[in-house]
Amino acid sequence: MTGNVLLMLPEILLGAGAVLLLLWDLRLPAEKKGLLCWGAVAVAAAALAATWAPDIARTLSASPADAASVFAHESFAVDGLSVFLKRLFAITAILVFITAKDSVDAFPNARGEWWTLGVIALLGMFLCSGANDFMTLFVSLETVTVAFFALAAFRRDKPASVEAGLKLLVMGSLSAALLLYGIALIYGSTGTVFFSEIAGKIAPRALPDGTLVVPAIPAEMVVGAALVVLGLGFKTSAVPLHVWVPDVYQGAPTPTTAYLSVGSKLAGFVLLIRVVAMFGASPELGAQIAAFMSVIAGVTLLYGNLGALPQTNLKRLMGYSSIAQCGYLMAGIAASWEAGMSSALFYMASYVGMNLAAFAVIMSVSRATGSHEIDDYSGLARRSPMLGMALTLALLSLAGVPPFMGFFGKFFLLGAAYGRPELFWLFLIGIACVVVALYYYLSIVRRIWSEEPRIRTEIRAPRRVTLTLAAVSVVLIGGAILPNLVQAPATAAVKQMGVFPGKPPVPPRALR
Amino acid sequence: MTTTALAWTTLLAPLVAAALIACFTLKHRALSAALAVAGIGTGLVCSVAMAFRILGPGDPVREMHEFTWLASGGVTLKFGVLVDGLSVLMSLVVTGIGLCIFVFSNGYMKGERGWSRYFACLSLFAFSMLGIVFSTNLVETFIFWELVGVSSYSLIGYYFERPSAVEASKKAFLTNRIGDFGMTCGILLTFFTLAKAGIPGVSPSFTFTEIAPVFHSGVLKPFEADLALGAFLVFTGAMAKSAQVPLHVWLPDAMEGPTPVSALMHAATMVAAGVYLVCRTYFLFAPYEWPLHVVAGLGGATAFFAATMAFTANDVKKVLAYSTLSQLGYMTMALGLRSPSAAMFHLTTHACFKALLFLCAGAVIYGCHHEQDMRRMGGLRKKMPVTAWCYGIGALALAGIAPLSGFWSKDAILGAASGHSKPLYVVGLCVAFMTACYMGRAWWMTFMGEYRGGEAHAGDAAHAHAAPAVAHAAPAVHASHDPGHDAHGHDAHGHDAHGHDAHGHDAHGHDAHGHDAHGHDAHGHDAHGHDDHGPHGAHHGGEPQEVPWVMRGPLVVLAALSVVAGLLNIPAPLAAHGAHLEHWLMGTAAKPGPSWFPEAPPEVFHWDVAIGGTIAALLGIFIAWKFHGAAKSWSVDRFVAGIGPVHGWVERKWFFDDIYLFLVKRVQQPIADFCGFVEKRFLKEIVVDGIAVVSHWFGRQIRLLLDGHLHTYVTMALIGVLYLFVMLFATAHAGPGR
Repeated sequence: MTGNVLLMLPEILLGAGAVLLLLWDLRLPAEKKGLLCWGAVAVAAAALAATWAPDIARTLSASPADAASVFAHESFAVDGLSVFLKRLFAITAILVFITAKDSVDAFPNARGEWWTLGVIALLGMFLCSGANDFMTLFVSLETVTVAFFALAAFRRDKPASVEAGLKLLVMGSLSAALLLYGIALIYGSTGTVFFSEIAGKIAPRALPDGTLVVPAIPAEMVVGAALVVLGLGFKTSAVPLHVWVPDVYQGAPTPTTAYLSVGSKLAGFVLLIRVVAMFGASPELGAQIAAFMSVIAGVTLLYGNLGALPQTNLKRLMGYSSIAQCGYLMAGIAASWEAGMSSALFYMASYVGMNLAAFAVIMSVSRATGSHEIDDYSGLARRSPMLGMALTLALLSLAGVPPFMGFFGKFFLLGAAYGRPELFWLFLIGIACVVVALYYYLSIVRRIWSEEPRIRTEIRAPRRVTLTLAAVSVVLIGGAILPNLVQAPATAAVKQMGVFPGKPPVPPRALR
Repeated sequence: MTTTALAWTTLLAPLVAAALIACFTLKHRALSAALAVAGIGTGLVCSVAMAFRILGPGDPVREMHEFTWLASGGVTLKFGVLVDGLSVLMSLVVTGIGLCIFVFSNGYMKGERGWSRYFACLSLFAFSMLGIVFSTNLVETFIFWELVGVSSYSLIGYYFERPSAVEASKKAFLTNRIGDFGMTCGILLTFFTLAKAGIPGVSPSFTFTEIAPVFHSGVLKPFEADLALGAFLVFTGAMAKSAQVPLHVWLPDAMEGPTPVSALMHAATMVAAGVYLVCRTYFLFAPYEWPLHVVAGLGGATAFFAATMAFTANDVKKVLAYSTLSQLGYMTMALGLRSPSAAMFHLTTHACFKALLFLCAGAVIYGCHHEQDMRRMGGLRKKMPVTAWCYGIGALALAGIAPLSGFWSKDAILGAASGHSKPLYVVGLCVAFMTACYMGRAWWMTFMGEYRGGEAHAGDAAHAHAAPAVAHAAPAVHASHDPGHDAHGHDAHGHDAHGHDAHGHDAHGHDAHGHDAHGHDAHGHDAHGHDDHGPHGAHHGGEPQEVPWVMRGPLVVLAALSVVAGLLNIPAPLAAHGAHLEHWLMGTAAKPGPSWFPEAPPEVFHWDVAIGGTIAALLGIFIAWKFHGAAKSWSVDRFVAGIGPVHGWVERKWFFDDIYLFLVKRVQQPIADFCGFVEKRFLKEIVVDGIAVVSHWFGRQIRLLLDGHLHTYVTMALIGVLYLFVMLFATAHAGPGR
């Protein structure tokens, strides 16, 4: 029992922390609401620390029984994948909270609630990373989504923010409907909602005499699986449920956009990895879903990258960029074998760093200029060398320029796609999109460094933000020098999931 | 501390120093220098500690620590340190000589603007070089190989305001690209051949300890052609870095860098990296014949040609640069003659005395207020006695006079040559003779006779300069205390050879402030007139003076090392146990050595070789004395007239630069023009611009799709879902599953 409490400790801490923050918010006078930020950071940090609790307990206890592998309850898994993602989520939240403090403090109304909602969203992400049946999946996903409805519409005084919240709500409902329909179909054809049981029912079985029985996959199962993948596409911002992304990114308050662009998206991806791994138990279904996803990945890549080209608003551009990055991750997962998924995890880790660094700069700049137009980033390096440098690093990493972490992420993901001969076209699209992406990212970098600023006043970022940016930059470069520090746990996490009895039908060719 | 931890400390200490200097102490000169010295000093202490652990009287040991750097698609790249006799010896050389030179730089670089940058680059170099030394695998070696290159280019181009330095840096870069490309191909070819061979129990790997036994076991017989080619290609990397013919052209120009840099990198350690690489990967070469023959032949050729070129150099550094080329040729020749331990021995002793000679040259340049032309020196023995003594010791060691260190190592190489190949033995003797001769020439021109600096200047100037040049030089002298005039540089005439170069190199003209027509002499002069070294006090024409102790100290230490370094490997009949170094490097027959050198009978002392080498050296000194000694009994001019066109060939550096220039201008340029045309007209205007136009068009359409209306969005999403379902079922029915 105590063991289980330890395993759930991060979620328990987050739940309790959210309630405490809410109560604290009620008692705090308006001018001290800024303290809530540190409360939220403390809760997230406690949750981050708590992810190590089972490991520590295992090391401390001498009995070999406790030293057994991971806990994987039928509904909630605490395995390598979930721990990896929880740590990413906690780090995401901490980075967002620290860099967003000034922007949130400047909100005219109810700013205390932003932090509570942020922690609740974090709780939802933690639950997502462990979800191991469709009920947990749906509930945890909605926990995240509902928190973000409120976060997006947080500036009730601004029409754009309210509109963003409404669009998120409508598209979210649509996708939830698709998702639920898919879950219902799968439940109908297998009679269970637990991932492990579904995998067991569709996986080929060896009879005692050694013959292999391959269960037939009914059509409703295929439709259900496809609907689940589509429904999750709302969170991951994959085509065709990506349509909300540019509007909401642009309209929502920037701290929300930053949080949404990383936290919500990765929550979608961790669920996607789990369900795809489960579908992969049946070679036939796995291959069909992989093919389905590869089409989505290709379209998403093209859509995001081409759509980003004519943008003039940096937040909106980041929205298209977010769609494009989703395409790369989908391509890796569609390749569907261990290399693809562990590469996706690696890429997620780098994505946290580079996207949040970009948004931290956006927040600092917009507080000074009041604008998100790319034109207003001209000559940023002269107005604030630190912010200019950090944004350059982040954009170069997003573009996949070596020697940053983003390069290795794209390298591994496209390498996974290259490893599957039938996905060669996707590999080519990915490569072409890297070139397109270079254009729109680098044209911002060019403005930052080689154009004259319109206004020459210095932009000062708080020390807290500059230190965070410095730390993230070090990680982005360090992760490229020693990628194995991230890659090894990512590979271990995927190996440990072990739901791959049906590996890809064609043996992967090694990347040589 | 474990041995591998010591190696990591040795490796990382200079990196930490470089990082600290670059990030924090750029403005604090003393602190930067202290950090750099502390970094390399830590390395030296750890290297000595490792030497005590690894090199004992017993059998040599090997220790290794590796971690996975990157794993992708079945290929695992690792990083680590490999500690054995070979790497410890090399790390002692790098850190020991390095420490001397770091300290010396404190005096030599006084008053330079880029002081902290200089020490950061030096530390970066030390880190990269030690990375090659301790590397456990081919990929790691290659990465550090490139890093060494980076630090080398940045230090050659240290005086980046000077076009000639930038040119030299570029030349070094381009020449090394050729070698590095070959090396990449060699590494990959070896790796993939191993992968293709698919020998049971042997997974393809880059790690030396894993692949060396495979090469030794002989199971790779069927893949001999590929692997021999791979070995040769790996050697091309060494060929560029160690400046072997025909990729030697960058090294003389590299003397544009500050003199301590020339001493450390372009004489003692970095250029020896090629020799070290071949020793480290000797298992690649040992089983095959032709790559080693090529290595030996190129080494011999380099030794010979470079020695001849040293006679025509009048720059006190250039003589040493050609001498370095020649000695590297010696080492390479020894490698090709299946005697890598002799090569390593010569590398070690050469590092001591060549670093010494370069530092002495630096001291002379410093003492003579940045004069580099030996024709304007002379008589320095009385004015700079310590420097003169040290230079003398270094020169005698280089000439190979017993019992200085150079004698023993040269004897080992000549012994190997006499055993394996008589023609190369003869070449070796010729080179020994010429080495003694040009070093004698340099000695007499620099240190003996009368000082020709002061008075010769006026006469020469009137003779060589047209009026505008003098007019131009005058204000420059006045401006000499203005720090802004650094651009005119002090050792600005590290390129007297360029003056002769009728082809191209126009850039050098700028150096002479636009009077490029003045050619060689004007060139040398002009730079002289611009002596901007305020901190040295006296400007041009002042008496040469002995250098301060911070520079004399390293000279004395290196001189002592040059005397005794031979003790490392005194062969059998003369020393009780014989050839220690060889033992460390090769191991014993029962337990194959840590470096996978081929098994060979231990080195013994051949009296005939020793006597032959000594006679050649003494003869060389005698002839140098006849030509350049006090009496000048023989005339150089008559000799030059006597040998006819050969002198011109030598002066033109055997036409290598001309051939390359021809190739670049007549062959490469048309190809480049054609490629440029295709790129501009076809690739850019049609392909790239076309794609850009189309993508932008699509981008604008996509932008229009999202018009902000929620009902459009919902409709679009549902259409997308429907479309995908149609696709799903279309493929499902067409697919093999149904």
